[in-house]
Amino acid sequence: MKISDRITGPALSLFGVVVIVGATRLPTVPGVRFGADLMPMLVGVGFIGLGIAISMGAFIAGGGQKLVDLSEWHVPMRKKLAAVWTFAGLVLGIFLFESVGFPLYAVIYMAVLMLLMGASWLVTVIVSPTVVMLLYVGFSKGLLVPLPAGLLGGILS
Amino acid sequence: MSVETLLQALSIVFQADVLLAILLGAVYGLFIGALPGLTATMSTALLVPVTFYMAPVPAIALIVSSTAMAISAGDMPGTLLRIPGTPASAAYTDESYQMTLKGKASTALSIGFFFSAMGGLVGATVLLVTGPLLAKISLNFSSFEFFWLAVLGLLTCALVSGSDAARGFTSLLIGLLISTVGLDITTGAPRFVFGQMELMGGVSFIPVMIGMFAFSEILRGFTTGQTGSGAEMPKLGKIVPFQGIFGLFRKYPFSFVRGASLGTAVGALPGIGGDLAAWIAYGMSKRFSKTPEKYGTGHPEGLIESTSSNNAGLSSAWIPALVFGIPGDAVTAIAVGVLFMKGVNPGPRLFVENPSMPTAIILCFFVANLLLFPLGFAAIKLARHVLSIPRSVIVPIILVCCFLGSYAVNNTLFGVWVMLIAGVVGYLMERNGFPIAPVILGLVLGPVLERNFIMSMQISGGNLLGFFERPIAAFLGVVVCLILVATATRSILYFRRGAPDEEDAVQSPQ
Repeated sequence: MKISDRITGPALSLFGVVVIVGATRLPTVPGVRFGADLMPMLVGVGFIGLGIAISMGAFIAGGGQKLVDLSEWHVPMRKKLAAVWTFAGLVLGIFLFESVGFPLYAVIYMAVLMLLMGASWLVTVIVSPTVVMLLYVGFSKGLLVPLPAGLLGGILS
Repeated sequence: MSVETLLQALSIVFQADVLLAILLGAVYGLFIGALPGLTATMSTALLVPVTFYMAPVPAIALIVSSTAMAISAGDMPGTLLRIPGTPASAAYTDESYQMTLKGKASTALSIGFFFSAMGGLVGATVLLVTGPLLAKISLNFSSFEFFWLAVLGLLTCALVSGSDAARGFTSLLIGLLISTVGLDITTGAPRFVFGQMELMGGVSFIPVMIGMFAFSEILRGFTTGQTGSGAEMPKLGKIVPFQGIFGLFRKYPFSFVRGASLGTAVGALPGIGGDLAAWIAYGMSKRFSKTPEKYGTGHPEGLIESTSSNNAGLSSAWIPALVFGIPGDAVTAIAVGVLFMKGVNPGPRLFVENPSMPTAIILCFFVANLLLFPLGFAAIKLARHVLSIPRSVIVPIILVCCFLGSYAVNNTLFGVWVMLIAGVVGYLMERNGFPIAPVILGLVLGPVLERNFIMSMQISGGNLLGFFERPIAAFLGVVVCLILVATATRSILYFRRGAPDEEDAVQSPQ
C-alpha cells in the first residue's frame, strides 16, 4: 500500500504537534530544568520539520500519484485470504491463547495458512502438528516459557 | 592485550557449552540465511528468547556464529534463484546468478563462503587488535563525547539507510519517540504510558524488531509473488565445493584485500554496519577494475570484493558495540541488548574491569568464521535440498516463531501486540520508502542519547557551546554539524533542481 507524500507530510507534521502537546502535559519535577518533556519536545519539532520537508518534496514533484495506491494488493483471492489470516489469525490467537491453548491453536493457525499458501493436505497434516509440538516442547519444557496447554492440557501434562 | 587475558579468553571459548552454541548457531544461521527473504537480523531476533536461558558468552557466541553463517549463506538463494537471502547479498545477486546461468554455480557459491570467511577473519583480527586500544582512549570520554558519538551513529544510519534523508530521519525519530515511552530515566516520571502497566517499563526492542523485519517481510511477500513454491531451479552444473578457489585468490588478491579493508572500515562506523559495505565494495570494485565491462555478466572479481567486505564489516561492526556500547547495526543492537539483559554492560569499562569477556567474544568470531569452511562445503553440496523447502511451509513456521519470540520476552501477550503493530507499521514504512534500521537503532540508542544529552545540558547549564568545549567532543560535534550542513545543502539543491537525481540515490540496504 503506497500513500502519497501529500498525505504523509502533513500527517507527520500533525503528529509532531500531537507529540509536543503530549510532552507539555508530562509531569514536571520542581527544580529540574531539563526534565521528561525535553526529548519528546525535540522529537515533536523534528516531526513537524520533516513533515514540511516531505510535503515540499511532494509539491515540487507535482501530482499524478494516487493519494492511496492499493494496486499491489490486486492479487488472487487466495493470497488475499492468506494475508488476512496471517494477521487476523495471530490476533485471534491472542484472544484464544488461554482458553484453547497454544499447541492446538498454533496447529490450526499453521494448517490454515499452509493450505491457503498452496501446501498439500498431506504436507499440512504432517508438518503443522510436528513443528508445533517441537516448538511447544522446546519452549515450555526446555526454556520454561509458560505456554498454556489449554484444551490439550490433559494430554500434554 | 596481555597474554594472560588471551589465555583466559581462550579457556572461556573452548568450553563445551560455548563451542556447542557456536556450532548450533552456525547450523541455524545456515538454514535461515539460505532461505530467501529471511535476514541475519531476523535470525538473530528469533534467537533472543533462547539466549534468556544462557550464560553471556554462549549467548553472544550463538548470535555471532548464526549471523556470520546467515550472511554467508544468504548468497545461496541469490546465486541459485536470483532471490537475495540477506540485504548484504542483494548487492551482487545479479553477478552470482549470471555465473549460475553459465553453469558456474559451484564456483559462485564457493566464492561466497570462502571469501566471506577470509573477510570475517580479517575483521575479527582488527577487532582483537584495536578493541582494547580504543577502549583505553574512550575511558576519558564524558557525557559530551558519548552524546556526540550516539548522534553520529544515528545520523549516519539515517542518512545511508535510504535514498531520501528526510525519510531516514523520520524513521529515526519514530525509534527515538518509542524509546521515550515508559519511566523517564532522569526524573522517573511516566511518559506516554496511557495508564498501561506494561508500558511503564518501556517498549522492548525485540518484538518491535521481530515485527518490523520478519512480520513485515512476510506481509510484503504476499504482494511480490514470493509466496509460491514453484520457483524454477536453474541448472547447477557440476557441484565441486571450493574447486579453483585458490586460483581466483591468486588472480584477484587486491580485490580481497580492498574488500576486507573497506568492510572493516565501514562496519566499524557506528550506525552503519556490514550490510552497506557489500554495496560500496561492489561499486568500488567495478570502478577500479581493468575489465568493468564484464561486470553483470558473471564475473568473479566484483563478487570476491563484495563477499570479502560482507563478513569483515560484520566483525568490525562490533568495535563500536563492544568498545563504546553503541551498536553498529541492528544485529549488534540486539547483541548489546542481550548483554545488558545478562548484566554485562558493553563499553570501555568492560575492557578494563573484565577484559577476558570481550576478548572471548572476539575469539568467537574466529571460531565462527573458521566453521564457515566445513559448513560452507556441506552447504554447497546440499544447496539444492535446502532451497527446495517451499515458502508455503516455512512462512507459517516463521510466524509461529514470531509469536513465540514476542511472547517469551516478558511471558505476556503484550509483546505479541507490539510485534503485530510494528509489523504493519514496518510494512507501510518500507512500501513508502522509509527505512527500518534507523527505527531500531533509535529505539536502542534513544535512552543512551537522552541520558547523555540531559546530563550534558545539566553540566553546561543549558549552554549548547559547552558541547564543544572538550577537544574530542568538539571534533565529533564539528563532524556532526558538517554532515548536517552537507545534507541540508544537498536537500536545498534538490528542491531547486525540482527533480530527483537517480545517480545520487543510494540503494536502500533493507
